[in-house]
Amino acid sequence: MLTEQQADLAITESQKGLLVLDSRVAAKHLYNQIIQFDLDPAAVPAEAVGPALLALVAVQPALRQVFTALPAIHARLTAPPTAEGFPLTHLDVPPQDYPEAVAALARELGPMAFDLATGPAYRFGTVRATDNSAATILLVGHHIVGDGVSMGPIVRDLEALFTGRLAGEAIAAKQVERETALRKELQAQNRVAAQDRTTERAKQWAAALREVPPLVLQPRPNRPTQTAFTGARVAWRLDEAESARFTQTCKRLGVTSFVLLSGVYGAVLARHGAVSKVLVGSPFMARRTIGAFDLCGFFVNTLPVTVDVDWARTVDEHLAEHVRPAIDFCRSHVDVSFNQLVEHAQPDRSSNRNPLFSAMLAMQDTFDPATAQAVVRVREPGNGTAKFDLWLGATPIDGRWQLELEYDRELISPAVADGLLDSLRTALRRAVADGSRTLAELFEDAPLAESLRTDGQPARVEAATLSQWFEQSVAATPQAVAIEDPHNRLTYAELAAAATTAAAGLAAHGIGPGDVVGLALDTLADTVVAIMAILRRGAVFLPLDSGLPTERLAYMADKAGCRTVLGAPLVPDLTVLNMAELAEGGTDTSSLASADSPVYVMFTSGSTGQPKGVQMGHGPLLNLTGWQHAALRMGRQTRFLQYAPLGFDVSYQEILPTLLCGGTVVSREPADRRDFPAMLRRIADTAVTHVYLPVAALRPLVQCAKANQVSLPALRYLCVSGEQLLVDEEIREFFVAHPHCTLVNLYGPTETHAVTSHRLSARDEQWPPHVPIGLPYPNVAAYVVDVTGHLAPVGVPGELYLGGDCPAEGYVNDPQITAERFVADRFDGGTAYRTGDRVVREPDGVLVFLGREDTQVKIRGYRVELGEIQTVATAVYGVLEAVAVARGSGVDRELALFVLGEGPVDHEALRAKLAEALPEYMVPTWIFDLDRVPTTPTGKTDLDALVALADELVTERRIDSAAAPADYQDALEAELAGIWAEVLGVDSVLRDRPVMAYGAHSLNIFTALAQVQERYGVPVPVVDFFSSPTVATLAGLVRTALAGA
Amino acid sequence: MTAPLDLDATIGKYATGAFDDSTPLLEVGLESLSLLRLAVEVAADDDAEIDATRLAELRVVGDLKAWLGDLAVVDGAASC
Repeated sequence: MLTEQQADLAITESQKGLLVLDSRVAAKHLYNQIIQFDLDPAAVPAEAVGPALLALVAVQPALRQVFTALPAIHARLTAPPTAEGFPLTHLDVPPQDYPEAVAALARELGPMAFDLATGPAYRFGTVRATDNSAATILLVGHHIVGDGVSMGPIVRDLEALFTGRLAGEAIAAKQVERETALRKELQAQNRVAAQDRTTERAKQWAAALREVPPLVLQPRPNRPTQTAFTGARVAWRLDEAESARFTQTCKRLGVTSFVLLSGVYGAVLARHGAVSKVLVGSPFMARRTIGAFDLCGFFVNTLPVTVDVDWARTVDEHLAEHVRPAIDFCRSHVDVSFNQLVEHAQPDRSSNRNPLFSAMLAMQDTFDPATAQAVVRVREPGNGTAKFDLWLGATPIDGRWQLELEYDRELISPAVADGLLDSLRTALRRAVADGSRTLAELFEDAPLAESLRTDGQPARVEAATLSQWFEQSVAATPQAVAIEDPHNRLTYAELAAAATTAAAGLAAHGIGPGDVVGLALDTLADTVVAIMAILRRGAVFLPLDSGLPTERLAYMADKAGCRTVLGAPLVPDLTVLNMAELAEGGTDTSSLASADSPVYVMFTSGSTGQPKGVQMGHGPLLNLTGWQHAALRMGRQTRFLQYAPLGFDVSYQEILPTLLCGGTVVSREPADRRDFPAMLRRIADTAVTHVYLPVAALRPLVQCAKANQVSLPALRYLCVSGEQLLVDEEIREFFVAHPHCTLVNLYGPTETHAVTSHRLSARDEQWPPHVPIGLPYPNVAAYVVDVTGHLAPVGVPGELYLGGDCPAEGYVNDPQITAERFVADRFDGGTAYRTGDRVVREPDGVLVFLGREDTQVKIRGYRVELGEIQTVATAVYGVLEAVAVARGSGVDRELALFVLGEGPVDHEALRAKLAEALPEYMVPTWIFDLDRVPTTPTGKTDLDALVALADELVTERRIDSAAAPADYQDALEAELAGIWAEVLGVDSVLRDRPVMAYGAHSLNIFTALAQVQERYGVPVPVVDFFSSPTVATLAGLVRTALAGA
Repeated sequence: MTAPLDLDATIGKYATGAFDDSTPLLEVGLESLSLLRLAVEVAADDDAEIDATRLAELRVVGDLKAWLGDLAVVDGAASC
């Protein structure tokens, strides 16, 4: 018996850490380990096994530990067990049932939780074939009493016990000797852990670890942060030739198997996680005393190996000059405990994942069959659990490496796990075959078919040009209504006649194929007539929005080579024609349109400080039209609302496909685009079947419909695009109330037009909150290109390249930027457009948008290059540096600009310059001064820090505003200010300060105005309010409206 | 002090080929596990401690012999 004093053990920091982790997880068998010792049945009689296991526990005191939290966390040794109550299950089974019986017993014993307070922390199972052809021992133990190195001492003890070298009184002597050794080892470990030198080394190491990006395998929105740690395994065993090359590679480079596997595994993880540096956790042997090498026990220290991955580096250089030193670093710091690293690195602890690393590599190579007689093979089967997102176990079995990946089933799907194993298999085979390969060359493309998979809709193109297709449409339905606006209804015949006349007018003014004609017309009918006329001339239309600054319009026209504008004289020095002038004279010719001619130029934000003009050709637009006809069930009954400004490519989808199938394009007017109650009325009154909105407008529309109990029985397709679509029950309810209507989420940059879609309807019971961008249209290739430059397997994030029949011709008169973004399609020929969008392909094939590769942001659906704002700002006198960031989410997302000046920066002058050069949605809501631009440790501008600072400063300014005296002129102003304060989430709003200064934007302005209308019963002229968006102006408008009511 | 050990002979039991002091350890199959077995074999007694942080510095057989030599003569104190 042991005395109480003898029994108490001061456990190590690692053990304490494990106990804490164990107490926090719901899966109480998570830290159960199963070791299978296959025996030589001839060398080990059945009756010898039970007594040997009893003796094993006697001479391995760590197995007899129980753990107590009070008064301080410590362990106690229990007495050696007796046969009575010894946790041993024995099975004799027919030889044909033997393998399954072993597996079944492991499944039975493995998941049973241990009570560490009372013990035992182990249990055994034995299985023997009745013909004595096979026998095995299963040891299930809690990790707190054993580690990978423990396998060696256990095997040696079993060998000694089975061969009689350890027997009788020697067992009792060995028990005492081992208990003493265990105490000494614990003392030694605790002494070293407390040393100041160790603490200092831990701090330095932790600082370096903070710079390593987190490894997220199979990234996706709403990836769980808490899991139940259920696991599954996939495995691959090298063949003899591969194993031989493996060994030769290690020898040639003078590295260990651990270095080789860490290097290749690290590269696989970097590919799948899209990072250039990964932390691979590995158990490092931390035994200190000589006596401890005969002990079973938890003496490992699990430490992160930093694998730096440069895809252009050769395998040899990677392994010998980077991975080996990284592992040597860990080995030379093995006195630093995992707990110390966590303490100093202070990682995010909001999940129940491992705080330092999500991937693990365990070398299970401590069993040496050459020294064993009774035990012929040792392995560690899985237990249906996963302690890490991904774990790689490497076990030499009969001279060949067995590699097993164990993955958390909630985080990694089986298809993605297979992809990881494929990557590992290919990379390892290539690494050991040729060390001169680069790391990128270790991988291969995912099957091309995945990139070419489409949504299954047809795309029937029924004419060579849009103009010709329109003529067919006119011939088929001459008397059908093509255009409907508040002032006009044009039949197809009338529209065609007007377009032909206008084309003749254009011809008379010298407009022919390839000429760019600006469009700045007021009505939908005139605009459509002009578009069809321009296309008939084989010319190109350039939308010019009167809301844009003159400086920007002039740049656009100049860049596009536009010398003629139809409509308003927005740009000085250009020829301006109105529709009446075009109708005078001129002789019509047949259509000059050709399939090779461009259709339009549309400008989009450019990071270099100027917008970029996308020149779109016929091919992609014909394909898109064909798809849209099929996918949105478009035909003569289609009534498509024309909502989008002409300068946005969505306007094409509203107008042309409708006209090319005999449908009706319905103007949104007289409703203001930003006035949701009015828009909803217009949608209801005109019984449109198709509506296409920016994502940011979906929720206000749905809310408006609900508040006003408006039903839209004619609506069949509600399309959205522009930014990531997030849906919830409120939005789904609208579609449940409109079961005949489908929500279509479309995706595509201006450079390719819409190219993918994902649809949802009331029939879908589960709506993904973060809606995928879906599958491509026919003839469109969607390549997800990973960090190695290969087609990414499912679950691997990468940049989306778009090929096939969708890329535009390029940026007009900008060959340099065109060459950067429109690249040769090396996968399937032709040209591919690099979107800069980060996406991932889900196992079911749909694409999910993850974010941007650069600083492009979306503000209420508008595409904004932050660099463009910065360029304008730094051109202002006195501004040395400017950094723009986007803060907030959804419709409340807004821009903030930080400026660093030579001296004080004049914010008003800066704001005026920004408003002069940029569209309204690109003018930052907030401008702040900076003393210095914060940087990350790697020297990059710390945008996260600036976003956090912006949040802080915006809050401060809003508090300051609230504190200022709100000097209202009358009760009406005070009431209106109250409405604004509530909508904007601020304490108060000054009467003469623009509401934009409080975070108002076009969408929430309409929410506020709708409330004003509801309360006072009079409509507010929206355009007048926008001219001076203050409480004082609003009060004046309300007073006037009430007086006139 | 213990009697001088024949370190070459002891190392020879674990090495997979011929070696001299300049032979890289991995060239003769001496990985961390076999280094530890060697350490256990030559250590002065069970109370002796191995400073595993020094294992990473061992590159050639000569390094190993120096390390084992230290281990063989310590008397229970840490061999840092």
